[in-house]
Amino acid sequence: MAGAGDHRGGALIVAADRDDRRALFDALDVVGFDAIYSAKDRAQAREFLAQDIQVDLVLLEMRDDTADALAFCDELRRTEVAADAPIIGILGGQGGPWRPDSLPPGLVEWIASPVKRDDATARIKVALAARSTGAARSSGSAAQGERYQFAFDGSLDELALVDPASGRILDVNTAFVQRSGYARTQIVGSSIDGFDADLSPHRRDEVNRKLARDGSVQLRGAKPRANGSSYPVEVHVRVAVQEGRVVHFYQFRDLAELDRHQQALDMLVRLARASAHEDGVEAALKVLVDWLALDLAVVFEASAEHAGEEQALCFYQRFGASEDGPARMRGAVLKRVLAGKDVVHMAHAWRLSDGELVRSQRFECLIGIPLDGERGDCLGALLVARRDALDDGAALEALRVAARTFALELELRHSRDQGRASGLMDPLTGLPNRLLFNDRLNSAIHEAHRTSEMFAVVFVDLDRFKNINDSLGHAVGDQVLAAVARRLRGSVRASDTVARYAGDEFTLILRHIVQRDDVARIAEKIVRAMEVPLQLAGGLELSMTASLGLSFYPDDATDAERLLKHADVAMYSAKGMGRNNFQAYVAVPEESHRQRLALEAKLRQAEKNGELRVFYQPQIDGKTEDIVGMEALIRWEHPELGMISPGFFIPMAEESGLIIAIGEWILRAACHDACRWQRRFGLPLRVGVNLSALQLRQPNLVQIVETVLRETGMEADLLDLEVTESISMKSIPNLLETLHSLRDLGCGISIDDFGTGQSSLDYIKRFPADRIKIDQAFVRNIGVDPDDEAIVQATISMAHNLNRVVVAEGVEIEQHLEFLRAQGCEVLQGFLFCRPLPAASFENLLQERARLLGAATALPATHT
Amino acid sequence: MSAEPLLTQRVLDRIVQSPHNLIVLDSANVAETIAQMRMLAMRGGTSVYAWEAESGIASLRESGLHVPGSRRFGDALRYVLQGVHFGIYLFVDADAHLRPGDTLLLRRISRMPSANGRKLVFVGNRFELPEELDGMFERLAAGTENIQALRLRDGRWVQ
Repeated sequence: MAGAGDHRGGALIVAADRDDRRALFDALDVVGFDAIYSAKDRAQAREFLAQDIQVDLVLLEMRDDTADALAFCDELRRTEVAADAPIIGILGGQGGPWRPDSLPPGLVEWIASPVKRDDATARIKVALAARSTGAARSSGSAAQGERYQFAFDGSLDELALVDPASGRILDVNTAFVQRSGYARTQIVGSSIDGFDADLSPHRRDEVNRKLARDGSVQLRGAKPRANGSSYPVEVHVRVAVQEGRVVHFYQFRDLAELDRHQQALDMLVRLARASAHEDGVEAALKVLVDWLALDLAVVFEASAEHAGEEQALCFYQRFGASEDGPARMRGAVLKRVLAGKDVVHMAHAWRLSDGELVRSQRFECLIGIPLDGERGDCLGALLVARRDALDDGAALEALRVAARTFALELELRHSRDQGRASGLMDPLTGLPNRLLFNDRLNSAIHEAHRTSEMFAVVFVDLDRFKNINDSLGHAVGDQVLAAVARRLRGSVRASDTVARYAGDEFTLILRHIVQRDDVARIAEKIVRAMEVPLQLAGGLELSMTASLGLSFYPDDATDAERLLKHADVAMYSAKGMGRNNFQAYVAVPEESHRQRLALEAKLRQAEKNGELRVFYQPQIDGKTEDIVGMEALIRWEHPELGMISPGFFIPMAEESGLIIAIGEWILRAACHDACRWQRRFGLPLRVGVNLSALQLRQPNLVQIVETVLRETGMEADLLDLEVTESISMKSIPNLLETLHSLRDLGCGISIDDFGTGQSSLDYIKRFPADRIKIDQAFVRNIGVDPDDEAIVQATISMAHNLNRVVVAEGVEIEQHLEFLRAQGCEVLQGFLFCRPLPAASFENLLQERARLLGAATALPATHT
Repeated sequence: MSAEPLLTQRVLDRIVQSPHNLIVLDSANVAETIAQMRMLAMRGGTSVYAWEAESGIASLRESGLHVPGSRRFGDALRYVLQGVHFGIYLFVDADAHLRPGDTLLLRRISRMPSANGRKLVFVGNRFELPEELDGMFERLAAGTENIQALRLRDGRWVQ
């Protein structure tokens, strides 16, 4: 038969159904035609035939119009281009006047509609092959009888040909002779009655009648051997034609063999079912134990990191089970299997093996099979043993199938562990991220509480890291961060945690501290390690220093948030001391109080001195993932102390009343920037600005907002004023009236940090909010804490029922995004998308977006 | 400025990165699109060719450089099929020249391995390929961009 690449010429399809045409086209393409003409009806086919084309095969749809269809076949025969082309009919579902078992004149084959590509391909190939070998078939009929003799002789089933009239055996195959134990001369010519089954005369008549009526019959019985014994068989008899005469064709199949296969199949089904749930390994092992009557079975999981520390995942011992059973199976055999080699002793295992348990229990059979992973690495071992020898070859195959199942289960577990880990690690430094750090800190607190131990939290901030990023680029900045991570890791013990908390901030947990001086020594070591000049790729040498803040559990705080906050405060104190040093948190000492007053005085000057900055964190549309807005966040960049955390100075500003001036300043700056960007990029970005409790107490707040909107030209509906949920309605006079007035201006109102404050349904109902911002504490626990997931889900559902838009803060990993998107959360904000950016960087981000969308050049860049 | 939005580098990038070798580029102003393609090819150095019935395949970067024997549509397709180097081939007004027998050639082009890929781009106003090629080509628009394709990750836009 011609190969796929051979010259096939042209083919014509005539079919009304588009899908049929497509499937036939695909089939012809597979067969290798050079040109395919696809016509939806005979009229279009005639147009093709009128052109100068060659058609070597026609696929013709046969509909109800019998006479027309046959006339078209004749028409094809009369054309020059398709005169010799074989025609394959496409037979509709109903069939119409055509029958699948009879071909009308002119057709060589049927293909059923709806057409299946593979079926059509096979039929086309057969039709083409029959056509090309047609001459050889008619002339070579003499050899046809011998054509399949090899199949008869070589069959593993016992076969016999019998003369129907006399019941004498005409021929038998080798398997028949071998299993019966008789010589061929004894069999041929004798009556089949002695072999076909142990049947009563009445039953035999019945079988013969059925054979004459149906042409075939199936029965069960016992087949005799020459030694007088017999074995159960299933007998198929059918009427056949051999060299022009009718014969009965007998086929005997050993039932015991069938039973073994059936049993093996049952075992495979049970194995597959067992491995489909959590305790799959144990259940699957039990299936094996029952089926093979094992006395011992154990599944070991290899340790990727520590050779020789393989763990017994599952263990079964029929007699004298003991806890150290798995340990007693360790030894040369296990080592050999874990090295990827089979160990198979179907008998005499106890004499051959050096295993202590194998010898003491006198196991005859011991089999060890490696559990190979997808990449060919050995994930573990399956060891089984029996007191009796095992002589069933299928058992070994079944054990291999079971081993494969266990290997897949181990692979799945590894993959799950890796997937879990990747969401918790910082990809740049390979250190735990903030999420994992918080988890470890909470664990450390729980454990320290239980054991009354002391531990330290260290906050590490790189000095003037921003300068590196700005002057040398982010690529160099990334190299520095990775190098710093290595230095930090190298400065502490293996049991300590080092995490990348955010940007250039790292956090450490130093466990099992006996005295504070120990931590001071480690901190000193870190400071010194950081001072060593960094050698970067490209021969670049950089000097880098860090400021460290220390806080101690339980002396400084007993909860994670305050421990971190105190370490942060101590770190700023270190910065204030001239950087490149460490400071421990000091509770409320006189010195600290003086520092605080001094800082407060500096904050008063900050606005005038231009030290305040607005950072913007993008907000993303949950569906399109395009930017839809941003939250304005205040930052204080002190010329000497560097960037001061808002968590540190905002409470101070609130206590001192400075928040009112700062609040108005940030509102004005945010509106100004948003308005400018809208004009420049044509993007109606909604900007969120936080309002503090003190601002809400201002009687003229509404006028201030109105003035800012007017002066900056900002559209009110793009301003979102965020009010924290923890604010007390009662403590602020006329709060609801103020909020309603702000809404009347056109501004939106958001409830910030939702879920951490009142969360009363009455509060939400009365609060005139357009949007609800779910607190990051809940969002961060998506995928970690099912309770928090349920809270997020319920909040979104409730907000939607109340026609409020939902904004989720703290979206850090893809898993959070997927969950929130699935819940229909409209707006998302978090480090996954972008950290808060200075105004210039945020503008660059919008510029880059415009460039990628190709609109930047088309839109005039208007600056104000 | 032309009435049609500017053809951006991104469209060219999407053609290059497309998983399909066959692309339909919808354009209301084919001449303008070809002119902009020429500009992008000259600026960026990408190998872009254009086929027209009168002249056959010609390089957009080097005017006057024609591929001999490529005026017939089927011959041009065979030239693309047998090439070994990367190249973007723009076909203009192809609907008037596309014959039923060419469908197989197009299917073979669609199945070419992507290494050193050749991209065959039909430029036209709602140009339709035969039904036998369904699922084997990508449809792009010369002007309108797919905003949803941009996503923000860790402060950077990704596509």
